[in-house]
Amino acid sequence: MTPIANDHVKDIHSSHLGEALTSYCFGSLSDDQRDTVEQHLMSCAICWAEFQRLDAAVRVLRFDARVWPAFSIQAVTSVLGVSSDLQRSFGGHTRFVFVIALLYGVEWAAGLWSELGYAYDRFGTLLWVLSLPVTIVVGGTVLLALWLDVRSTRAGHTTGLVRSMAALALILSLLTVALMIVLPAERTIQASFQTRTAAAGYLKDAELIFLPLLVFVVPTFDAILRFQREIRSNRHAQVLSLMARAPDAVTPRGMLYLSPRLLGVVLLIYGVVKVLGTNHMLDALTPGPYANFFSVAAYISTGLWFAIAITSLVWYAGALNELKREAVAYIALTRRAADPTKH
Amino acid sequence: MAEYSADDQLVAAIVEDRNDAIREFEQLFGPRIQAFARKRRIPSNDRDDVVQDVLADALRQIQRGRFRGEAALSTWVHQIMNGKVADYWRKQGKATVLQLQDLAENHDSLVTTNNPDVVAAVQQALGRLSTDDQLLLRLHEQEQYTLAEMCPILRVRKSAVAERLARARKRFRQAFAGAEAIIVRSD
Repeated sequence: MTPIANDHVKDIHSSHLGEALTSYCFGSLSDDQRDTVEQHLMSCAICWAEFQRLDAAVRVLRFDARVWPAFSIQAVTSVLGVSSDLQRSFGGHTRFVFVIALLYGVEWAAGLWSELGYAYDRFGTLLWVLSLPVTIVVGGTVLLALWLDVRSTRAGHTTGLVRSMAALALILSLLTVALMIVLPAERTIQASFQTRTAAAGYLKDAELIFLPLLVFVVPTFDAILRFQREIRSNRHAQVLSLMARAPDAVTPRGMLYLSPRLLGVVLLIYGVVKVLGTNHMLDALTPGPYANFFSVAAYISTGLWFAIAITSLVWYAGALNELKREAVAYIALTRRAADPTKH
Repeated sequence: MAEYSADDQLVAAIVEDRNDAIREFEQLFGPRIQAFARKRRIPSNDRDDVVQDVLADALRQIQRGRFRGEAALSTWVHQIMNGKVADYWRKQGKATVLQLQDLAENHDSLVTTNNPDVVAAVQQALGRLSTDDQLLLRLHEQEQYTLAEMCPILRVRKSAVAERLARARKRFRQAFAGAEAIIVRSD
């Protein structure tokens, strides 16, 4: 630095650049702000000297790998990404879990309305009596199953998926049996094709529509939890390999990794069948006083089905991306600590 | 140095073609224009030419009496530099294809300081920062993550990342000043 002090380059200014100089050195100013700072630097020896020091430091910070301290796994995971959320409620996915539990509970209740809505004049009271308890039981079961998965995964077990599937299968089967007892054993829908009794129809809904929907929820939720745990255990490279479907990637024991693309194909095929089935049923419906009521219930049920599948798929893809980013960032942050000469 | 204490004295001496005045003008503004050109990402192999172009043009204009003192000399020179930098990028075209070796030459890593005191001060300054600040700076400054890329990693909005980054930079500057002072004293 050449020590110059005259009117062209003043060393005494009423105000210096302050934090604007920091922003300038780090290159985070707009063009106008940059011009203002540069004009000041053209005429202020103090700020110019400070600029030279700070600019040199910023260049070292950016391009000299030797200066960076090594980061511990705990330090990085406590700051970065979703893996650190594993210890939080529902592994940090509380909002998703409650939304899905609510939607899934309502879906089971909507199933009741599509079975009995056509005969609302006879079974309206039963519908109102059953709707809320079914919603609560099903929603609560989803919460319980996913909580079991979180608890198991946190504890280091590999049986989280099995436990949550078992809890869902057991409680929802009991609920279905109970509903088959309560629901009328008579045909409540009049259509041009052979219809089933309300109890049998609901059993068919549970088996073919409601339970398969869980493929978008339970394995995906478990996969995210397992990835969080793998990253916390410093197995970032393995997680990335598995996500990239590398030939040497090994799926952790007890984990079912379904790629978002595969689930998207399943959603497309199953969704088309579901829409066609619903439309076929409604087209064949015999007109009746509550036929419209029944149609609305059927469409709501179909809409909820898509809402659950799409919400889960979007959440899953987003969470996988976040984990991938975290793994990549972690590898980048720790790479140079392991090999400080590499740049 | 600083023989000419005011704009009009320096300008008058340049008009008279006095070598000491021209030298003072070049020493005064040359390093600044050099630094500003680097900040505007002019490649290192072209930077000296741009700086010389700015200085020569400014001196020529002063000698032709085109500097009328309506603005400060430094402001006037800065405007000339802005024009030359714009000319430079216009000539390069919007889609300049850089060869790999040019990229390497232009890469600031090759012009980073060799001053061990600065390296030591930066190291100490980083050591004084919290892990959060270190990680933020590392991701953005060294790993070149954009703010948008950092949002999902840190699980905060882009504006929050920008704020946290600004605070981390501010604390780095403070820590660096402190570390630099200690190193200078121990020298």
